[in-house]
Amino acid sequence: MIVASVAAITHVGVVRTENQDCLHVAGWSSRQSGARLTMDLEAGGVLAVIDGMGGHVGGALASWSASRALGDLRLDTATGPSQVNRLVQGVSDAVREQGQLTEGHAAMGATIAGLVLGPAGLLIFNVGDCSILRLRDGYAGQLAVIDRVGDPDRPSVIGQCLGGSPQPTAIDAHADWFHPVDVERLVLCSDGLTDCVTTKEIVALAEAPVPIDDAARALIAAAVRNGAPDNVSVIVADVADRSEVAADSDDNG
Amino acid sequence: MSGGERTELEKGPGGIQPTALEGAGGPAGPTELEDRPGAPAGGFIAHNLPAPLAEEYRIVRRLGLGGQGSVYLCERIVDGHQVAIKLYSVAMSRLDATVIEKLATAPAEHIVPTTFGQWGEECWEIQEYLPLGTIGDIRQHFAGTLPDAVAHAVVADLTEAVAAAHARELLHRDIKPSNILIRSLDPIDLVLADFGLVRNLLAGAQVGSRSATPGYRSPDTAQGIWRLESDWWAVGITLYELLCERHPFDDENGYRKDEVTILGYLIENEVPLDGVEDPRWQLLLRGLLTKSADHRWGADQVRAWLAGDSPTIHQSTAPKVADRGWAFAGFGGQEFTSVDQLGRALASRWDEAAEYLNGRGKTMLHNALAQSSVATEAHRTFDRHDRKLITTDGLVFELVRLLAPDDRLVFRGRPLTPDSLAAAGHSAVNGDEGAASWISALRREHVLTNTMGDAQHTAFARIDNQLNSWWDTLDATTSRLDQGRRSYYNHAVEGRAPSVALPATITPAHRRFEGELLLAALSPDHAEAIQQAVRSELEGRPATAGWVDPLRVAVDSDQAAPVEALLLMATLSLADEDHAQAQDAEIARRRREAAAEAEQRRQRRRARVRAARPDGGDYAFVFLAGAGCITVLVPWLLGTFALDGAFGRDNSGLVPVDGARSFGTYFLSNWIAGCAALLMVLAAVLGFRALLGRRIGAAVLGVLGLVGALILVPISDDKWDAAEQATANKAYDPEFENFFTCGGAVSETEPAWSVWTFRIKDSPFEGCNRVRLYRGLTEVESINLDGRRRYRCCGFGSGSPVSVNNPEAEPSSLIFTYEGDGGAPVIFRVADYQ
Repeated sequence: MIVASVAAITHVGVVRTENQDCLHVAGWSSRQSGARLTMDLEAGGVLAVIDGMGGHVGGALASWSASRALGDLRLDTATGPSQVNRLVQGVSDAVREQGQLTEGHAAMGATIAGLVLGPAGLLIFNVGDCSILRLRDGYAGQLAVIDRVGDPDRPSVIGQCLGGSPQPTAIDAHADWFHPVDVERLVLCSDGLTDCVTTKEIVALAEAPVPIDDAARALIAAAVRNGAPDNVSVIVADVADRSEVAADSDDNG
Repeated sequence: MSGGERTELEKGPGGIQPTALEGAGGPAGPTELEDRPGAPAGGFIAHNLPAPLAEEYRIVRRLGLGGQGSVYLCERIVDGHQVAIKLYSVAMSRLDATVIEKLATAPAEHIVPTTFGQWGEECWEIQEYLPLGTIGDIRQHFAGTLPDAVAHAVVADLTEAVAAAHARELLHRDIKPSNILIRSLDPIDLVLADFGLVRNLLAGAQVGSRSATPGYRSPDTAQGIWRLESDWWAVGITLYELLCERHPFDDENGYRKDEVTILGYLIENEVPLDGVEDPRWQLLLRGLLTKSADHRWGADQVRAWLAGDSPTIHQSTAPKVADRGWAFAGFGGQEFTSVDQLGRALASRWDEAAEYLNGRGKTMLHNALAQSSVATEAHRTFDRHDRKLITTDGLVFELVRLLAPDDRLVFRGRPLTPDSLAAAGHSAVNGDEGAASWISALRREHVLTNTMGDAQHTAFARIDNQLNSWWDTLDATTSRLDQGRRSYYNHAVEGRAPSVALPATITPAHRRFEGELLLAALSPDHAEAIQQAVRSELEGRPATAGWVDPLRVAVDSDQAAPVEALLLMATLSLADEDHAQAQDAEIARRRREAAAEAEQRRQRRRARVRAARPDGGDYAFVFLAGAGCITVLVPWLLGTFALDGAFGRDNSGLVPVDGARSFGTYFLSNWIAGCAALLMVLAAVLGFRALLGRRIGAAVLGVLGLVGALILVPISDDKWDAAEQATANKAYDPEFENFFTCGGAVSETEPAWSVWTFRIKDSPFEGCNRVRLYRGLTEVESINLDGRRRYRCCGFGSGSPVSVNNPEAEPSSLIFTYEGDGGAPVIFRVADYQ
């Protein structure tokens, strides 16, 4: 069983007036700017940062719909990458359907980065340009596969997203196993953080042993200090594998 | 999501009514909402076709979700010709013009004819509709079995199809059963579909993020480059699935292992072919599933196999694969064709490499290196990082060493040379945090020891060893000092804990220590310079807190390592502060003790004063005495002086002289008389008040007072009379304790003389035997008479004796003359009793 301690904050930023980001922590959704959600997860669940697409109408509704759809997910021992991909596909379909039900929101979309704390292990997934950073030894490694299209130097075009079009769209959530060694410090964040805070700063502010609460607050504060043009959301999680299987696989490795 | 659920959702919400959405399409084009009889369960379909398509086609039903979009069965409105239309998601709309062109001109007998279209942001493919389905379901056309002839025909046709695509430099990249469509069953005619992932072979370096379906990727694709041979591996997996009805990497529950596991497994192992019994089929699959791309079967070998030949199988007994042909394109958007090239890139872009290896890149690189000549060593290094035996910096360093062993040594962007080390040391001494943390990482990772093969290795290893031993000493000494300091505080600073912990004070200096110690390890001169600096600092320095003394002694006597000298320097000011604290504490303690003593003295004095004071009992007695005095004295004074002679208490004549009356005898009479008088006054006042206020209560009290007074008055009178009697008795019997009075006489002369006769108590005789002569009340003479005679009484003058008690009897008399006071002699006589 994967266990996690989680601190999550979403913030409207300095420039925007509406928070279109949404946090999902094991069935709880939050888009209240500045509110901090902390939880110890002993029985699995899904963590996700969802960024409603600001360029699109209804980004806030999209991220909220996605978070609610995540809350409906059920995890079991068979939950693996292909299952997670299917689950995220379902979330995307839910966002699309919600968009079609709401006038003028047919193309609303959201990007997401998340963790699935499943009975069989920890899975990472992402769609779009939300990040999953693994902080270790002073470096932040990107675990998400950033879906950005085109020249990396130009303003980004998101390669795929949840919803985003009236047509049913197949998405690839890049789901994969992640095997934590001891306790891993992971930071899930929307591009609102990574666009205005460097990975060096993120590591300096959030790497263990900084308490997760302080880390989450410090990251948001850094983004705000740097002008935060976009909504900023972070989930700081300490995850560990407490199952027998993990011990076995360690032995094999 | 099942079909049933989808239908319900589409039908369910009231908002979606055909009329409501008609014409509301906007740029997305008109909405198609059709109710077709004969359509699959549900009947309603609500999907948009882009406008140009919608003019020509209408949707019949959805066939499925593809990798990048959904596929719909549509029919041409004019003639009902059925086609499959794949709508790409908006986001997936990058279409490569060359690919489109190649697909458009591809041979229709092997590749599904496909027309691409684009309208605004929306893209689509129009394909031939093949109702027989894919070879994944081919068994259902043969009653659940797969005849050997059919299987061979599938191999033959599939081989030609892949070869035809490859001939046009078209990589499929996603060959799997569900992408191979059946055009006809007899004879078997297959076509490749879903070139959604098709890329131009020449642009093949553009890789990575979009992966083919997991489970169909060959080990070589882990390096990020999809080659023609990769498609042949996928053909092999597809054929295995066809023959065995399961994927070789599905577990017993039908779950696919994830890709990392599969590729990891393949580093050391071959694809398990246990489900395949026939040796011919074994041969084919082994050929197609050869891990080395260079030795993998292609179209030629498969054709030979179909002809009955047995092409050779490359035996990959050693997992190592020659580096020839090795390539990797996953790091930094660059393609590497040799491991040392990659190693140099990792070294020169250290931070990027470290972040890459902390993230998903690690798996990619791990898999890629598994195909290189350093597979085993790389695997071991990755494993050490996985188990946190080395840090990420250590991982990068070891990988660089492994991949580019001939290059000069680099750690975190700085070259490893004596000069560069010295430069870093100086920077750290001058406060450069980057240099300090570099040195710190260097020794923690034992990087210098890990430089085998370098010319400086021996010197480096010695430095590493020296540094780490010094830092161990630092840790140990710091904690020993800290302990000493705590106990110092305990006894010298009032048992308080230090307000600043020693280690916390030292930590900021660690940055400088890194530099100093590295320089000291590099040159003994620097080590000596440190010692010298500390010794001159200590010269003539006053005493400090005692906890630092052991270190001081060690440094003074030249017994200390440079690190101890540095530590001493860093702790001296703290020791001074502690010393001052201790002195303050001592002064404060003395002051407190003095204050406590004074306070104790004050307390004792207060207690004594409190104890000496009269208590309540004392006051009660005083009060009682006062009250007694007042209640007794006042009436008595009144009765004695104010009421002298009142209430009939006048001279009764019994008392010979007024002076004979004593206060004591008359006390009771006088007191009662006073009380009576007070009661009368009380009665009068009460009566007066009763008259004024008409208060019967006062009147009653007044009357009671009056009655009391009237009762007391006669009592007072009686007591007076009794007192008169007592006084008189006393006057006639002045010493009644010793004598019985016999009789007396008073002279007629002036002054009055009186003579009294007494009988002495206990005399053995009857009659009187003692005579006393008074002038007034003053006794002037007394004579004891002859004991044998008894006398009566007496008289004055020379005339006949006067008998008081018995005038008739006049026996003989004794005549006395008193001449004592110079006047005329007094003559008196005492008559004989007989």
